[in-house]
Amino acid sequence: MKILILSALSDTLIPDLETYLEAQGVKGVTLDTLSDLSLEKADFIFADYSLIEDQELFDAILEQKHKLAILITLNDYSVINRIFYETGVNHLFGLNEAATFSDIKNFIQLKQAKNKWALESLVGKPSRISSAEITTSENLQGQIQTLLKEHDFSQCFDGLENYITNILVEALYNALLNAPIDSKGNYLYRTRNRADSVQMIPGKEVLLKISSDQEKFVISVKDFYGTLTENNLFDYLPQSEMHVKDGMGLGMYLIFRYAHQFIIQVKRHQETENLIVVAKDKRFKHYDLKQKSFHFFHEREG
Amino acid sequence: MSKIKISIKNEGDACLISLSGNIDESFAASMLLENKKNFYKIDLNEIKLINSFGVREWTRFIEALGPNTRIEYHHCPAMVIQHMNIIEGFLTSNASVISFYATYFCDENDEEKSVLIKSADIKNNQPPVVHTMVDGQKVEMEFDGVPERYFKFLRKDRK
Repeated sequence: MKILILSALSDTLIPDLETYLEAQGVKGVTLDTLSDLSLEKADFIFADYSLIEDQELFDAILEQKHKLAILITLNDYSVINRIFYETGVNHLFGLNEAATFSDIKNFIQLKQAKNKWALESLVGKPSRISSAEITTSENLQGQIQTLLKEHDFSQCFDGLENYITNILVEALYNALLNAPIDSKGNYLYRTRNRADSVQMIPGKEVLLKISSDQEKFVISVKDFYGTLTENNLFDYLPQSEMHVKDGMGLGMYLIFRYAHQFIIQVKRHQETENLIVVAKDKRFKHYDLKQKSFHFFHEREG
Repeated sequence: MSKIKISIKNEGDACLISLSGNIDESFAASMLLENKKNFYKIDLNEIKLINSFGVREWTRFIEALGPNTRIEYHHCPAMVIQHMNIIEGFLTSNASVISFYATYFCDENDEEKSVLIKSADIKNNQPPVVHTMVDGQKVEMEFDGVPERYFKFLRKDRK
């Protein structure tokens, strides 16, 4: 796999990644800059969002968006909606000079091995896993609290449980209200007043798993409709200009802002899984400054 | 989890609102709009969580008050401050935060403390100095955040 790195941090990033991949025994991956490898010949490209200032180059990069990840800075987090809208990419990585590049390392390893993200592979050992089938939106926060009680927050700053609850509420509401469709493909509950509870059709319950190890929480929220696509991803995510009136994108935006990794995997008409990673930390400051990444994977029918 | 509880009192020209619990599906803008005033003092001390539905409904309430209504937020928890910092339009130009909570940390004894701060006391993004006692000694605690990020809501150009 030939990977092209177009980043102001490539002098640090490339040797760091090469050392890591070698240590992990990952073979067959080469990392190059544009002077060694063309956009067309690259199997995957990591490019700074700041390259947008070179419009000609950025346009050429975006022609390869099916194999592109955009590298953003901390200041770009508040405009991820605009970045998604402008670029149409499915992968974003937060990056700064203090980064450990761990998300990128994992991403390359998975890509090379042609593996999928899974809760079980994201969480370390020893770990605790609690799960529930969510059949109704009634008392959703009570259901969440029951599961969170099984996990250890002693190594976390005081408000982290609240942020995780907020993330879970948003992810579960998306799965319960925005995903279900009828046999004709019409959305069942999207326009329903959220104060009114909904019941999932038997066999279509939302599956919630919360896992934690010493370093992080990993959450999986899975619906069995698989209705999210590239085309309506931007209905879910914030629109071109973020504003609180912009419909259901706000919930997804809050998940991105309060989590550290947000991975959406869709099997069309089968299932959508939200995998969400939140690092444990005793300090709010570290939690707030930690790198973020977002990924959208879409596996079509057949 | 607790549903929203609301207390409304009139104090001269001002309407005093205290909220506790969650600003979520259990909250409706209409709950606060029965008796409109030109000045609102809103105490958020006991708010635990605001989800996206709550944010939108809260925005409806603020919009219904109109741009000339003066709004003061008191005792804002850290999560409310985070929402104000990351959600454009949540803190409107006719509203100001009078007091809020921020966390301080002491590495020496792993102590975390939530401290109420008056916005007027923040100058040039400098958090107030907070102390704790470690082994009988007065020790300065570290502000647990990046001041430029955490105090973004105080900036006039916060958009």
